Amino acid sequence: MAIELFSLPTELIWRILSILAPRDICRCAITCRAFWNMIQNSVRIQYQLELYAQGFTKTTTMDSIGVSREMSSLKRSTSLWRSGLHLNTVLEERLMTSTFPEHPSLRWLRFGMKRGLLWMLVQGGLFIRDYNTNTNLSRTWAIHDLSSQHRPNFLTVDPLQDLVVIVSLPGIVTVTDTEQDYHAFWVECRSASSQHPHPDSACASLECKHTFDICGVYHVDLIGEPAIYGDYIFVFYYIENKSYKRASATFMQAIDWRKGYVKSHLFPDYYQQGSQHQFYVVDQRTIVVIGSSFITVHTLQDIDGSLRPRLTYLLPKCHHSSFPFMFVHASPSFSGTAPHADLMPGYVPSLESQIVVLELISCPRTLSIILVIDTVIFSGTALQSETHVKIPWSDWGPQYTCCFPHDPCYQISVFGSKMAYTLPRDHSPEPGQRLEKLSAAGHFYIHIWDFNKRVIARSGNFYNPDSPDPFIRKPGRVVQSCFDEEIISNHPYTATVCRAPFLTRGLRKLFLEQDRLILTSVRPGTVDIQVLSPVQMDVGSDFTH
Amino acid sequence: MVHLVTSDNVEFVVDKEVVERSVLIKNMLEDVGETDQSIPLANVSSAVLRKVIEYCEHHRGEPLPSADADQNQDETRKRTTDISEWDQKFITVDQEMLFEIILAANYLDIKSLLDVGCKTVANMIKGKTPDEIRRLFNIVNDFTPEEEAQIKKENEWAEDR
Repeated sequence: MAIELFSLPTELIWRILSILAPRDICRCAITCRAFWNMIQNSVRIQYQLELYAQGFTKTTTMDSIGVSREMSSLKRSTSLWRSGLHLNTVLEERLMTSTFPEHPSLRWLRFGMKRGLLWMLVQGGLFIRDYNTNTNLSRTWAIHDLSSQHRPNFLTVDPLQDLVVIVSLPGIVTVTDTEQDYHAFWVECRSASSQHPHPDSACASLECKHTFDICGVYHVDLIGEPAIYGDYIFVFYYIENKSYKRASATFMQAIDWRKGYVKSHLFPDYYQQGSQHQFYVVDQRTIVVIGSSFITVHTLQDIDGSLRPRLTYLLPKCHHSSFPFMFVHASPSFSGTAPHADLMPGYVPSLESQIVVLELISCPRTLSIILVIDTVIFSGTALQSETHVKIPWSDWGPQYTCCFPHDPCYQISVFGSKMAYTLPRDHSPEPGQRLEKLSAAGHFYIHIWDFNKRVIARSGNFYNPDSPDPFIRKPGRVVQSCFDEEIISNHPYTATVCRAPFLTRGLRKLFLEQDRLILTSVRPGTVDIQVLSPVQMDVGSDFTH
Repeated sequence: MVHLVTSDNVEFVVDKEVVERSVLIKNMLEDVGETDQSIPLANVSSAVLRKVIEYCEHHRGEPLPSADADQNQDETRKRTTDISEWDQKFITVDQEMLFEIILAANYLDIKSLLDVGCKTVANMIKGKTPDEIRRLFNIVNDFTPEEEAQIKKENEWAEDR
């Protein structure tokens, strides 16, 4: 008998499959029964596929026991967020914020969440709360204790790396010599646990300089919050020459905070209109700029470190009168070295099937929408192309986005392929249906929408073999939006709804994670935090069928 | 020198250093000590063993991969396509020989050769459609049309990944 592929023992075929990408594995599964069985029967391969489908890639190596344990917890948490969601409050906490003196320059309310670590900047106090079961890194400080050398203007925290980043801006820079570099801002890296300069940072205070082309008086300000991705801090800012109002430009400084290396990049001319842009850092070499009519993916070059636009996805044109405000919602980055080993997630969100939610808030608010974008468009071979490619909306929008009517009072949190959404009703809206706004005295319900294509394919509800893209349910319904072009609103995918109502009063922000949801309500003098976890139900055999 | 006898009764005389790339033979030699007796390899034919020895000869003197390198599955994954030029040329054989080499590498426990073989098969599959994969390995589609539609549906999510 001739030796052929299936003469190999199953372990060897698994070994071959484990080097393949999910797409190739799935293609093998379609070829015949033997192949399909082998793929079904390998816990490791199923685990890899499931992680990919949910938007994660495995970073740590595990033995087979580790894999099966992770797989069962993954199965459990996926099914937890699905069938008829029940939420259980595992922790409630009230933080008193009025005890801290207000800080003169850092008064904004800021929140962030990473791997069970919540940080908040409220009324002159910085709170770090640890909601993991094994570690306890909770801290509270008065911002005044930071005793920065400069007057701090911005503060952001990466609780996973125990890092507090403080940015101080002089605001006005008077340039008298174009041969010389001027301080644009200072960046300080502190350790969240000790408040001292971070032990891994190269120097206590990094001076970020800028070279100005023309003499004059400049206004320098940050755009959005600095983004932290592992060893890198990205600071986006613009400069404006006070004498020539129109002469402004947008820049980014990429700071390797462990090495103390700073590099400045200029964004091309068409961003000059000022701060109406959002930045989304995909990884340390891929930066996405979202403007009113485009989404541009830039990459940092290996050789000369220059920033190049690679791909532009054009959005439909907006009505002149209803220019929208935009907000980007995405999973937080998990890269970097955590000071505690048990804080390191076994997975990191990857490009594969995560979603980015673009919230477009328009005036009048009845034109507001959310666009759920598949981040697969930010990866792939097109990023290598030498020329800047522009892709019209019709070529990518209908295929890689989903659109839903939105109201600015609904809160959004994204994790992996899932999105938590606070809506006034306990049932999923019909395609294109607009719901009333949340009333301050009323209740809201938590919806979890899952854009995991594997789940959608299994659920069977959204599959239409005749449609060119079988996973987008069509027809949807045309929804009125801030765009001139007609936009189709899809049906929410695999919606799960928590039927227990929550009080709207004070609702500020929610954070979705792998196995928990955190709600924050802000009232004068206090912040209430509620940690919720889905109630474990019978998992059943839902996963493999 | 070590004497090896293949399934088709051909005797090979090989340097100990060369043949010790096979963990199986290395362990055997450690167990029996210095011997002139030949080692029977009932699962390996002379044609295949010739290839395996050619591989071991070429990689003579290279450090053997440590046992825990096997654990590092992710590392293997990252290096999918990188097969060295010599190995690539070496492994350019017909399918039957390729599978025979993989089986022999597995039996003789030569991890680096097994990796080269598995990567080669993976590279053959990469980017092909289910139909092309069937043609490649002479696979008969034994699904009923209903089953096929169902399985296709469940596996198409990864298409644009």
